[in-house]
Amino acid sequence: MKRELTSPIETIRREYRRSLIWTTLITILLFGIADTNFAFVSLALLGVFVAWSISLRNDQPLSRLMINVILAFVLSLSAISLLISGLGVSTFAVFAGMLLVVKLFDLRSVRDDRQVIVLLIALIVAAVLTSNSMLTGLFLIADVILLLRTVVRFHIYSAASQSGAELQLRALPKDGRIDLRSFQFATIFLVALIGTLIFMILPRNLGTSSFGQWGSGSTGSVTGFTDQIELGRPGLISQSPTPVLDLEVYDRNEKNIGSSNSSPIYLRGAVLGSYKMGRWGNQNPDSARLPLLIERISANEIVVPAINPTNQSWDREYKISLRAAASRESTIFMPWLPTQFVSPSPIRIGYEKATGRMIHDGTGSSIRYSIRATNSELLNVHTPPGYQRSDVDDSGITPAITQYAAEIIRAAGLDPSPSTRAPQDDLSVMRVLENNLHTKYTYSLEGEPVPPGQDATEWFLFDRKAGHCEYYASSLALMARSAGINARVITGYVASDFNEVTGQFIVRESNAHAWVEAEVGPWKWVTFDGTPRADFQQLHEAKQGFFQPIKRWYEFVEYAWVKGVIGYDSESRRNIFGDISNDLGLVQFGLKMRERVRLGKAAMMRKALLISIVVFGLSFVIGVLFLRARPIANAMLYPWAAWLNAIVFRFRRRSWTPEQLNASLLERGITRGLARAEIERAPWMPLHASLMDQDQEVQQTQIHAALCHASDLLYRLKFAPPSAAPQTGDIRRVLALLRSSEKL
Amino acid sequence: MSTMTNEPGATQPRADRRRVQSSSLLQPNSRHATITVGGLLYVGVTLFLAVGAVNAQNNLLFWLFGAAIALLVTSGVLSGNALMHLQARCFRVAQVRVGQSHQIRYELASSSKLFPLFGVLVVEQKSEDTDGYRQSSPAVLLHLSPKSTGSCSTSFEVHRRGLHQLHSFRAESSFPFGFIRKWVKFDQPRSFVALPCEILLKPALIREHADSWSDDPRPLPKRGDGSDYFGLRSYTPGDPRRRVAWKQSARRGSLVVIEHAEETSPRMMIWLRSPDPAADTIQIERAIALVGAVAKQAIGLGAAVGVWIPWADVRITPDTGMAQIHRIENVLAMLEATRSDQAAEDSPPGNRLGKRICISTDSSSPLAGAINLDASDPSGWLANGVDLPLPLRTEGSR
Repeated sequence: MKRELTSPIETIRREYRRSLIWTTLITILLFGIADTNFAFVSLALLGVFVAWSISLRNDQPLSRLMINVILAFVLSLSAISLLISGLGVSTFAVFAGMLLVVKLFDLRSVRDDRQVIVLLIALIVAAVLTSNSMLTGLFLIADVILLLRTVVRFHIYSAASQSGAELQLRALPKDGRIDLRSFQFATIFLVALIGTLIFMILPRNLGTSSFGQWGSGSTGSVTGFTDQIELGRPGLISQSPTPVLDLEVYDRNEKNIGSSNSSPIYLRGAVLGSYKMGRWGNQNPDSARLPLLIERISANEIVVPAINPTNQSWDREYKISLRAAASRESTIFMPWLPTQFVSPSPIRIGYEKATGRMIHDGTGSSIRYSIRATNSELLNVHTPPGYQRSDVDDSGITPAITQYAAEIIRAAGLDPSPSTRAPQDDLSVMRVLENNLHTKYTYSLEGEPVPPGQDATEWFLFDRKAGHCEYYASSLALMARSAGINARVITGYVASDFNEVTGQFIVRESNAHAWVEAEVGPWKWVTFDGTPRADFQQLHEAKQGFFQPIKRWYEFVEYAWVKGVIGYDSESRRNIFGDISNDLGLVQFGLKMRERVRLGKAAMMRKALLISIVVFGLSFVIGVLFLRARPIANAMLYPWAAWLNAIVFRFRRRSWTPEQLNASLLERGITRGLARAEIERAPWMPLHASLMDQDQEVQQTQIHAALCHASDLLYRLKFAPPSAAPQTGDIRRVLALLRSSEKL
Repeated sequence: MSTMTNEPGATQPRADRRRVQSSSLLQPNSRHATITVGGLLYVGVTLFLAVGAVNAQNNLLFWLFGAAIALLVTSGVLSGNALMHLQARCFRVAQVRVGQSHQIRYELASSSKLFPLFGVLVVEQKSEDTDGYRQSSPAVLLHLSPKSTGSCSTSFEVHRRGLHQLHSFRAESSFPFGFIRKWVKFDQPRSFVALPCEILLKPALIREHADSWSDDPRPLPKRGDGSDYFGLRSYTPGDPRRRVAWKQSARRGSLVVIEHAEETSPRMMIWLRSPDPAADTIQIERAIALVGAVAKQAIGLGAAVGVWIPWADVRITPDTGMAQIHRIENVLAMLEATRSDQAAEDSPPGNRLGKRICISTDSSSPLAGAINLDASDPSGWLANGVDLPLPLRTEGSR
């Protein structure tokens, strides 16, 4: 029974380092998830594994020369990354992460450990600055807990390492470990409680963007959407399933009318009217960044964002939660034709009535708003006598496109000439052109460069005949314009993925799309989409599968996260605490609770209290189970170990024999029993003699008897002939006895 | 011999953890806190989080900021409370000798009902008169449960002989997160005497010079009027009654009396000559340490040794035994190394007090008929292959 003797400080260091490694792993995963940088995660995790295997586990740092070589390599990589991507949170964090991994090979003193902890904190902050998704949040919570544990252990290690002579130091005893665990639980509980209280109480919407454009979790993230199109270059193409916004659709009676069978909802973002050599941009260059009307509106104030000549009343209300708005000038997505815009909290908005384009200026993080719209598709096109079509911007319309569009229209029995064609036929012309694109062209996401000097739309229409939604939208808009119909390209998202659990549409980055709006009557803009239907469905509609229900529930939880945590704003705060005055609203919170009781909402509060008690009770039980997990695991040890060994023994020749397994279990049980009984075994004495050497008082205990029995079995197992070897049943019984015996 | 005054308890605890029951433990008299570099960094990160949260309205940053503040509060409450309920005392120091490492032990008790303490460091407070005292590292107590007692120890060295005074010590901790280092101070005035350095002399240094000594350092004792025990014999009328060994008589059934041995120890007088005005402090310290070492060796060989330092007004009559060694070392420990102008420079009377051993800081005027040892030349007396203790080394000497 050989057991390596370790000094107290070595034991303490080992425990701390184990905790450090776990924290490092979770931190790297946290940042990798936040930054979706899987190359970094893979490399860093591999580095941590190697560092643990060759350096940390044996406390053998690499030589200075090796460290310097690796450091030079890391610095070179970071310099290259800096030159390519520029200075940003991501670049900095990747550098910090690589430094962290290198530092794990170079832990020589307490100071090095301290530096590792600083790097871990830097990575955590960088992750929060990069993303605020639910996974990031969950990993953040786990990471903060692990970091607390690591820092606490580090300070014990740090104190222990200051002790000059190791012999003067005693290892952390058993009750010390229990105290430490209780301390950690208490700290985590208090931090969670106070942290959440501070999170809820702190006022929002104050000092936004006072220090420039940084700090938003969405900064630098790809949303799929873009407010300009350059054909031949990657634009809207994003296949990421990351949710961008949540959409709920209600009728006037506040009934949720969203369903998985409803037709896709086009959410407009940018309105692009000018075309030049494959590039679609804003019609008015001066208002490219900020539309003309900018105002700060108060909560629940109604704004009319677009021209509504016939004063159509709204029939649908679209409640939209933008999960990750940019920190400044983020686009407000809305369906056509919006008649009213309402925000539950005061915000600063800008809008352009002519195009119905709208932006939100200021706050980052998430935004919630409602759009009340009328479904223009259902309205009949009415053209009054003497109606004159709007002027069409003919830039980019080549004779080839004009001729091609005319052929298609003529083939459908319609008049291609706008001067002789009745305005009522414009809708049919658009349908013909749209249908032509649906049937004669192939959808493709493969990027191919446009031949130099050639117009991208012409190249798509006549040569390649394959492309993505931007090509379709551009072609349809130009062909419509060539037929005298005013058309514009719209970029935004298509909402088609309906979640029955939450009753909302989830719009992802991959739902970014481009389509066309054409004016087929007086201020009658109708949506047309040239992208083939089959491809459109394949791209934008939810795929059914075995994991779909699980995915829906996950999305439900994620939505709750977005609504409750990411979307927590001044309005949510006001709902709970009232206005910011008198003890940060706590007084008002108390008064409100009393008022609720008075108003007969006591039942609701009782329910909330009951739920709190249940949640608390469950947490308590889980906590107790967690504390007791090791004894339970020990109780289950034997059957599992035997079962695993049987499997391993079947497949590997060099596995343990049953005798070796039994001996190992006995040794383990005896070691733990000695520790529980606080019996110090003299290393030069045989085990049994050492047990017999104990005080009379100790020898009368149950655990001592169990230990003697176990040592007897162990000796028989190792030295007796096979005929006298103990039975497995005896070993199991003595192990159970060792576990159940009360300590001294 | 070292002594410790105002000592709160006489016995050391057998077990480290036990219930707090001793009333002799000291209460802290002041409490202090200082922010560490790590704490400053943490405050910086917290401010950064606050600015980021306000600037971007990023709710995860708001939560992280809340958690950061919560950590500061928790850290202050949990560790501060436990430290406030700490009591402590310092145990006596066994024996202190210049140049050697010694152990100092502290007992800490927590009267807190809830909060345990982790990673407590105990260090002596520095003051003007603790210049010769150096604690190699703090004493570390890794864990102290609520309402329990623990002990910790560390080693220390003294660099000068004589009286040392310690006034207070402090228990500090930066647990749990290292943001703030908090400490409580305990006033426990203590003093101890540090003995001169121990020198390992040539084993035969005294014997090879003492030609009058026989090969046997301890000749067979003869019956006489000395103080040492010789044996028992039957009582004969006329024997003084105080010589009767009553216990042995009761055991034997007849009266027996104790006989004493004749005083046979050779007598020696060590004369530490007045230090040469040109001699540096190390040379003087070396001479003083040499006196102690020679006395120890001579007494070990059975000689009755006395010390003659007239310039410091020290005259110890020859005697044998451990008590004499302690007596001589204590006097040497407190010896003022500066020569008094009024002090006589007369040599000890040789015949009456025994063989003379003359120790000086130089070899300029050896004393005739005496063993002359030059403190500036260790090759004459230092054991082969042994270095001088660190405090007695000069540049270039081992």
